[in-house]
Amino acid sequence: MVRKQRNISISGIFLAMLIGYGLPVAQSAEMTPFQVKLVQDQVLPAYWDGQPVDLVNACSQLVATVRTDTTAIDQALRDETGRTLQELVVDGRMQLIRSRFAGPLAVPSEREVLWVLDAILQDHSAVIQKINASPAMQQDRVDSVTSLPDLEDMLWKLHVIGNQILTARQESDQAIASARLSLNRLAAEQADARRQAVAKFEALQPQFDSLEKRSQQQQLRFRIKRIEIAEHLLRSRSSLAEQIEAAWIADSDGPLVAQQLEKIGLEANLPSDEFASSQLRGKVISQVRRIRELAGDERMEKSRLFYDGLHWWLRGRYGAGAYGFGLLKDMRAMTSPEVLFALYMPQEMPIPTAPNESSLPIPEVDRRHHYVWMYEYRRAFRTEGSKSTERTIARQDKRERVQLPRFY
Amino acid sequence: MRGVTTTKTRKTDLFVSQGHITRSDVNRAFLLVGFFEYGNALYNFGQLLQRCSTDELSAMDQIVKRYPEYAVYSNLSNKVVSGPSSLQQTRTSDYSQDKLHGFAAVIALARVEFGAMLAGFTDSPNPYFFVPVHAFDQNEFQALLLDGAKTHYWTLLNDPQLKRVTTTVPSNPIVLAYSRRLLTARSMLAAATRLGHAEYSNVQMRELASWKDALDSVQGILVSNIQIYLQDLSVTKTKDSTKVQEYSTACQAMLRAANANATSGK
Repeated sequence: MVRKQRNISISGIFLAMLIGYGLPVAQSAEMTPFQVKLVQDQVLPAYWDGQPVDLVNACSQLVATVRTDTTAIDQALRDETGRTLQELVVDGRMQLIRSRFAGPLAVPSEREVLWVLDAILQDHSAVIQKINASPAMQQDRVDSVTSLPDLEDMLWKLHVIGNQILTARQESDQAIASARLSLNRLAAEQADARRQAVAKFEALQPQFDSLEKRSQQQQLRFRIKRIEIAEHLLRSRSSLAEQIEAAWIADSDGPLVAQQLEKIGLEANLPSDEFASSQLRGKVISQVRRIRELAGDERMEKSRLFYDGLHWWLRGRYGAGAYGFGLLKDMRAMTSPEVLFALYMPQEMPIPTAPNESSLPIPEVDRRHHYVWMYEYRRAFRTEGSKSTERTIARQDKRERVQLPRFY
Repeated sequence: MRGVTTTKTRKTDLFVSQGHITRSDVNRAFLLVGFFEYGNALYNFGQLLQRCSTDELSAMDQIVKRYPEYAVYSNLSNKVVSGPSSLQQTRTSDYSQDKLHGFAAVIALARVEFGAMLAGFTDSPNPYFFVPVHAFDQNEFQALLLDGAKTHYWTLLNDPQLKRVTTTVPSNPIVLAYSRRLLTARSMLAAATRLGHAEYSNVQMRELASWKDALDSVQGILVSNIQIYLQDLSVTKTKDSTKVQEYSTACQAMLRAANANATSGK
């Protein structure tokens, strides 16, 4: 499936993070009455209600009331939530960053900025560790995977890994750019802390490069293996379902693998390169041809209709447009095939929830026909947090905002 | 496969030439996420239903069942049910029995979603029968259609805004939106009745007929209001002529769609 990666707009929050401000602070082993009131009236209700914006705003006020020692506050918060002040700040801000929140939010102190940068760094280190440990990334797993569903599973894992790397790179770029801004306006100690964070982000980049290359190589290995198994299945007494799958593999993997092998062969410096051999390419092409012959034109066509149809269906079911709460596409979709095709797709394949199972149902739009009637001709909505502008894209003239109620 | 393979857009625009969708209608509906996608999916599935044997469809069903993302839940209307109804499913908190998982449910959902978009945004006279009904997915199609009709009807019944909309001047786009909502609801109800009439009891058929009458009368009020509004517009010159013209075009399209819906519902 061709996926358009969600373009996580975190610049707003990062920029907001750069404007520090000073507040009168207290340093005490015990909480002040103001702090107690803040915790009881704002922090805890926001936490219990699951409102990240309110939580961040309240925590930000709380951070501003202490200079260094947060022990007393941490203790009070831990008793009620099991989390420290730093953890609550990081959780709330990270949640908003990842949900592309760009609305008004408490300007963070320099301490909060560094907490968030550190949290992103830790998160990226964890992503690298997780990807490295993924079975799909282990070369020795290629031989042990022998069924089409297992191969499909491995390729899917690699697809998700590709998305994780892309997302981490985007976040890194934003974090580095933001941390570098206005350095000369900060105190020396604070500027140093930011430089260190930047250095750590930069140190992770080669690791992401390497993971990306390994992931692509693994994909190639699994696809070559899949073509081999598909040919074998069609030669043997396979089930009808397997024959349909095998035919599709020739159609989808065949041209892709041949093209990649040709590219690698042209670019390879070392003839010993695993994928550079012209024999390998010839073998794959011959296997694909054989699959097509064994399957026959009719089955090839049906398989194509089936998988292409499923592909379109998934895009209809889980795709989100850029406007109207994801229900609408850009106005240019009426004239441009590229824009018509472009959709935001989830990074990982969603598993639908039963209607009463979760307060965050999957898919979020259970039926499109429950909502699309609200859409007005030539009107599109763009909502960013609590700020909302509505534009007719073709003309860029501002119009009034119309609040759309949920269907039920 | 689930999406790990690259699929080109080679079927682009093919489905457009089918049915009764005019170019201007299609342009408008193309802005809806799902119209192009479900339309293309249905184009493919329609050919498969025509060309595949029962065994082949069954093999495809096996493949689809392997992947949880293709599951579709039905009986969403249980959440909005209003009062006693002969059409209400036994209410239960266990939705596992409403989980439809297989190729038939996949096709059925595409039919319903695409049909609803055709009904609301085009003047297609038979929006839900873009691809001929097939025994393979007829039960699932019927279930999802009726569920959709029930959801729309009960939600409209409980909508505190609806009464106000019937007296609102159609220069307010909410009238257009509600008219479209009614179009969707009425077309879905008509299709569900047409498809399942042999299975409904007399009581159920009477209830469906009363729902139709209720929806028709509200739609009639809105259509009448829009017609009067357009007549007034034709004799009034406004400053923002482009904006008004654009809106009046949308109103006219709505009237055409309502007319097509009324004709096909007879």
